[in-house]
Amino acid sequence: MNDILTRICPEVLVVEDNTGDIRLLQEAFKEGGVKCNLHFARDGEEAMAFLKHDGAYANSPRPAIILLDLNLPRKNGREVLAEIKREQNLKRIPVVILSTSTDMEDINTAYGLHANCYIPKPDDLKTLIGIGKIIESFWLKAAVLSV
Amino acid sequence: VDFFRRLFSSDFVPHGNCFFWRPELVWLHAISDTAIALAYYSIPVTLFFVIWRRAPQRWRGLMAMFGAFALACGTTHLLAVWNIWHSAYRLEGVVKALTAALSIATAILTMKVAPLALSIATPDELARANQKLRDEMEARSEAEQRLRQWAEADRISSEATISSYLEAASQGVIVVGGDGRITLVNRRTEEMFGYSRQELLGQNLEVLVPERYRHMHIRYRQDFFLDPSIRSMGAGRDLSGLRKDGSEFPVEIGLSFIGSGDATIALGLVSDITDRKRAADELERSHAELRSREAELRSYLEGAAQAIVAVSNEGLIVLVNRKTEEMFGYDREELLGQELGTLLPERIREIHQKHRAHFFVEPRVRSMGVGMELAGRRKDGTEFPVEIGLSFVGTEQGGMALGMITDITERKRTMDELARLNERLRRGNMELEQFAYIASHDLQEPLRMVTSYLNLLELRYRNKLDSEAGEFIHYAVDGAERMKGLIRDVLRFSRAGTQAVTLSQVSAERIVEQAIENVQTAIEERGAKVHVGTLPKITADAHMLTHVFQNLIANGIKFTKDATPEIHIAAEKRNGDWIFSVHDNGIGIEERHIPRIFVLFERLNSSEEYGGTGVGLAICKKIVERHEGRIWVESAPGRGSTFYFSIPENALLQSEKSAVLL
Repeated sequence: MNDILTRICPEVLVVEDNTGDIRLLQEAFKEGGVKCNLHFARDGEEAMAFLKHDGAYANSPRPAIILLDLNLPRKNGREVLAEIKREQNLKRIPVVILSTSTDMEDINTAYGLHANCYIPKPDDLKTLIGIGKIIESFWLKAAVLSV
Repeated sequence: VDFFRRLFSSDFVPHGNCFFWRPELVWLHAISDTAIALAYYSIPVTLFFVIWRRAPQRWRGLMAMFGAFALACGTTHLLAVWNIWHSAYRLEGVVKALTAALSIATAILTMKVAPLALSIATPDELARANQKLRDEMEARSEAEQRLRQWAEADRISSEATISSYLEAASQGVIVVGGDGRITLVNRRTEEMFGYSRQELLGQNLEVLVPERYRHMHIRYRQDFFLDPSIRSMGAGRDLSGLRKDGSEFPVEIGLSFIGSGDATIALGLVSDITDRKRAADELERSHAELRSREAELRSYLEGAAQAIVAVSNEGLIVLVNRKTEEMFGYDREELLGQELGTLLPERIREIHQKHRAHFFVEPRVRSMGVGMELAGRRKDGTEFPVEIGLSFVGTEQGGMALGMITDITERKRTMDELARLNERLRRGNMELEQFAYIASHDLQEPLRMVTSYLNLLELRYRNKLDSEAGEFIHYAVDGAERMKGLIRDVLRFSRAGTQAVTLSQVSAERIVEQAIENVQTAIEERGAKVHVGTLPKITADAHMLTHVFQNLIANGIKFTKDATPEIHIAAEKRNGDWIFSVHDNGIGIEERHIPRIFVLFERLNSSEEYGGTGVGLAICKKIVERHEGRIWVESAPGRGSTFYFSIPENALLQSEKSAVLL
């Protein structure tokens, strides 16, 4: 059955270059009991390859949601965001920006490029765990996503 | 010899004997001979008179001879009378011989002068000549008579004319005789010297000469009479006349004379030149003034720090000053009369000529070549940047352009140096901003790692670690958190300095409301009271200004230790500024610390006690300054603090600002 309500374990693409952050996010989701399949892309190009099933990612799943960092090597987060929102097949995938920056310019730019949500990376683990839970409860449970 | 010894002896018979002493015969002879002798004697006497009185020289010899001959004849007859009674026949014979000789000589002489005697006019001819002479004399006498009449009439009328001329003359006329006495003056002389005619006539001329010149004047006067001529007196010297009242006046005198020898009289024509002299003095004074003004101007010109060049409308240099010589390396003589182009680099000569022509058509005082790079050219061919002020001087010879030239090599160098320094500063500032960004932004990432993983350690291993490990983790987390605070403040400070100030019309009351809301937590915690007065509408960046109020309110609360914090916010207008004040009843600040409180990271109290990083007031200061206002504090320990800041009343809105810049 392909019912929209029967998502047992949604696929989540995390675009993040910092291994510390990757691990922290994994641990936070684990501590918060978030149920999902986390996929990691280490830079913008890798992220686009994953989304377009290029090369090694031929069999990559289509993610239910993308968590995108802005500061990325090679192709930065803004470019990735712009490209996703330009692509007919990808633009309906919600993109949640997870960034250290609290700069209004960064925030406005992101929304201008049709980011679905902007969340500053919190400084402490407790908050991060909370954010993980919120993302799950909102984007993966409450919200109905396009397929 | 015997003959002559007996010459006078009467040794013969007297001649009377021949008459026999007959008385009639004796007396006839005696009387007749005596009469003949007397007649003969009268002739030489008469001749003598004629000779000495009238006879022409050439007749004199003949007449003398004739006289001697008559004298001799007379004597012969006289001796004939003598010999009637005596007998000096010898003497008689000698005298007869002498008479004979004289007679012959006279006869010869008479024959020689006969033709001459024939040429003498006859009495008739003489009479006719005489008549003619008389007629001529009469005619002349008549003419003379007429002439005399005419002359008399002429004399009378010319005397009258001369007299009226004299009286009407604008010059004083004085006539002086050889003795220096005045014989004639005219009316003008009376007026001029203040004497009446009667007082002057007969007076010595020197009465009209000032005392100190009299001695000399007498000498000059005497010299004049020795060699009179028509001339002006005392040429080249200042002459003065002396009035009756003792005052003096400048005069000019022309001298003339009439007659000669002792009869010479001198004629002086005197002009009172007081007015002329005053005018001349006036002229001289104004000339002197002009000269001194010119000298003054010249000294300004020469002393000027700028090179000054005057150019005729033909483009020729007519004047330069010393600074010009110095600046361009030419001698003055080399420049005067030269084309102005001499002082210009060749590449701008042509265009300059056009500009110059234009300037003479429409001259006005201005700076030359605004926005253009002007250059001068030295004698050695090197160029240098100049700035030129132009003005126009109208003269009788036509217009003159006056250029004031400043060598701006040094200024240009300074400005270039300044621009370079500015650029360095700008770059330094940019680097600093970048550093602030990196420090505040990128440092947050690793710090977040530290904190987050410490949190994870705590979370996962709380039960597996002893209490000491828990304490260590606590300090590590605390340090990381403080560092996070610092980084956040630096970021805020850096943003306050770099973020664009967006001015708009805002209500200060609304801004303060927002600020209070932002610090609500602190207010509630301490039970603080915030009193807000009437606040104006201002032109400011609302977001930034909210931050200022929020900071000052939070500070007020934070630094009130024991009492309930009370904050008073007010505003007043002063000198075109709105002055806002935020007063608290806190601990106050010692005067010596006041200068430090607005400095970044300066803290007067330990963070243990009051917290904070020492950035808040620095940010406030930055924001106020970016609004072109200033911030200050009045405070004393235990008496609370009042923070003031000013915001210009008429700050330009952002749109207006850009309009102005355009």
